[in-house]
Formats: sequence, C-alpha cells, structure tokens
Amino acid sequence: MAGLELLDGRAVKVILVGPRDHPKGAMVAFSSREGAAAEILPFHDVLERLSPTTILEILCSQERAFGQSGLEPPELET
Amino acid sequence: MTPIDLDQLVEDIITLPSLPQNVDYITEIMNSPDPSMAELGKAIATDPAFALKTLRLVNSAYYGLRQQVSSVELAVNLLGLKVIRNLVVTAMVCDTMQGAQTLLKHSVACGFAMRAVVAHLGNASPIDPEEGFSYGLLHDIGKVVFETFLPEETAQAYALAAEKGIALHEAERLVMGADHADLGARLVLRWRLPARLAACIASHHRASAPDDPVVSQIAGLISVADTVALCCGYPAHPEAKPNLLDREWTASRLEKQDLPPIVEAFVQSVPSLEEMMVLTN
Repeated sequence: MAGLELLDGRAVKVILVGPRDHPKGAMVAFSSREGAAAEILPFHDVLERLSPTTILEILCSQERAFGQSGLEPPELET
Repeated sequence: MTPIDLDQLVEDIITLPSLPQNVDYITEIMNSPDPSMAELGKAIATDPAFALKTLRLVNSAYYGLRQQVSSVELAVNLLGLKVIRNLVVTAMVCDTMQGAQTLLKHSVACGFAMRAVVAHLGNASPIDPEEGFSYGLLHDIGKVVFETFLPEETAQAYALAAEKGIALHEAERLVMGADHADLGARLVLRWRLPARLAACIASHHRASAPDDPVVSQIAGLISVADTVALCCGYPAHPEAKPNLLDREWTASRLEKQDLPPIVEAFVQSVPSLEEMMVLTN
C-alpha cells in the first residue's frame, strides 16, 4: 500500500492486491469525507486522474510484487 | 568547476583497446546507402573477440533462431542489417562501459523498454522497434562514460544534484561544464551512428525544445521508456526516483491507456534482457 496524490490534488491510497491482469489487482482508495464511506475503485477506472509516472509506478510495482517475470520485488508499505 | 574537453574524452573512448579494431569501418558499412551484408559479416569476423560476442548475442533465446549459428556472415544474412546494427552497437557499448554495471543494465533495459514503446505505437511511431532499441540503449551513454572515465567528478555531480535538488544534467554542467546528453551525442556521431539519434540524445532532457517535432517526440518516448525501466527495478542510479515531466509526456504523444500494454510488452522481454546482460559480460 502506498499514499499518492491525484492530478487534482486529492490524497489517495493505492492497494496492490494481485497481478496486473486481474481487473481488481490494484485498487485506489479515496479518503472519505465526513460521514461518508471511503470510495474504492479499480486502478484502471481512474487512469485519467493519475499522472503517467504514478500509473507506471503502480503497474511496475504490481508486476514486481505478483508477476512471474523475476523482477526484483519493490519496497512497499504493508 | 573543472571544464572538461568533451572532444578529447570522445577520442579517448574511440581509441580504447577493447573496442573492435575496425569499428569505424563496420559503422561505415552499416551507414552506406546500399550496405553489403557479406562485407559487413567479414568486417565483424576479422575481430575474433568482437565476432564471438556478436555470435553469443545472435544465438541468445531472444532471436529465436532454430539452429546454432557459428558464422558471422550467416548471422548477418539471417537477422538483417537493423538487428545486426543493434548487436554491434550493444557489443560496442558493453565493451566500452565494463566499469558501470548498474548504468549499463539500465541502458539495456531502456533499449528493451523503448522497443516495447515503439512496437506498441506501430505506424504512429517515427522509428521502428529495432531503431527504438538503439535509441533507448544509447540515450544515457554519456552518463555511462562520465561514470567510467570521470568517477570523482560524477560523484560530485550526484552529490550536488541531491544537495541542491536539481537534475543531474544541471549538476553535471556546474561541475564539469558539460552534461551527459551533449557528451553522448558527440560520441554517437563519432561512432558514425545516425544524426537523428545524436539529436535525440542531445535533447532527451529538453523534449519540448527541439525544432524538429520528430526529434521531440522520440525524446519524449525515450523519457517514457526510461521511466518504465526505472519503475521495473533497473535504475540508472540507486537513488533515482521516477519523474516523467509533463513536457516529456506531452511530447511523446502517448495516451495513458497505452501504458498497461507497454509495461506488459516490456515485462515479456525481461528474460531476454537478463540473458543479454549475461552474454555481454
């Protein structure tokens, strides 16, 4: 899990839960407004709200954490 | 600041004993309008160490040849000029830069990432995937040269960049009076590689600046490939952090939806990348 900022400045948490080919392999959790439940969306649904660097960081971290390519695992918050 | 003489540094590299004795002749054949494959094969074969390295690369799993190739001439005919050009350039780069393994691995990874980026773009790309490999491989060649030949000054530049929070190429200019992009472009021209490749290397830290929109786009694509390599664990420097600038992204003309398939294609090539690193050492 890692904290990130959207292009509009909102703070979100990205949770890696599975490989890249899984539709919900990475989820983006939006901080809840008072009294509202936190919104959690699949990463691929919010691509346009993320910077290209962030998209690449998430995709590559997913691969390094769950993929079979033998890339060195990333350092992630747990 | 101790200004360095870039031209002298380039000449020192060109005359390295580890480079193929006839590198000028080999690149001259490759750049001729109607290159003779037989002549190219013979030119490579006259340098035994270089011929061996080329054959090891040719026989790697990446090229998927059905049988072992033991003749450089045959390899040239089987793989074609563009692939052989990449093999020759890769062997040249690796021979020159034995002392900077982290950067070398980053450069090879950028070559594979750039190939994935360009292949994804297809006809929308101004270069083909094999050219893309060369662009990615060579874009930081100046950085590799600095680290190999001027390690103290390079360490100062890294320290200055960290201390002042500036980009490495800016710190290089403050410490040495020149940056790795300028040096890389000069070296590539001295190796008689294409002028557009040199222009892209020279401008890869100022993607929006070149007048030529093709150079600008390729420089942007290189920045994307660089970020893919870094995010996948092939950094140019242990402390490097991904930071694709807005102007670089805009210049690349990619869409965000393009990034997942590009990463997928790069990941598929990781075994070949690792094999190439072993073979070139």
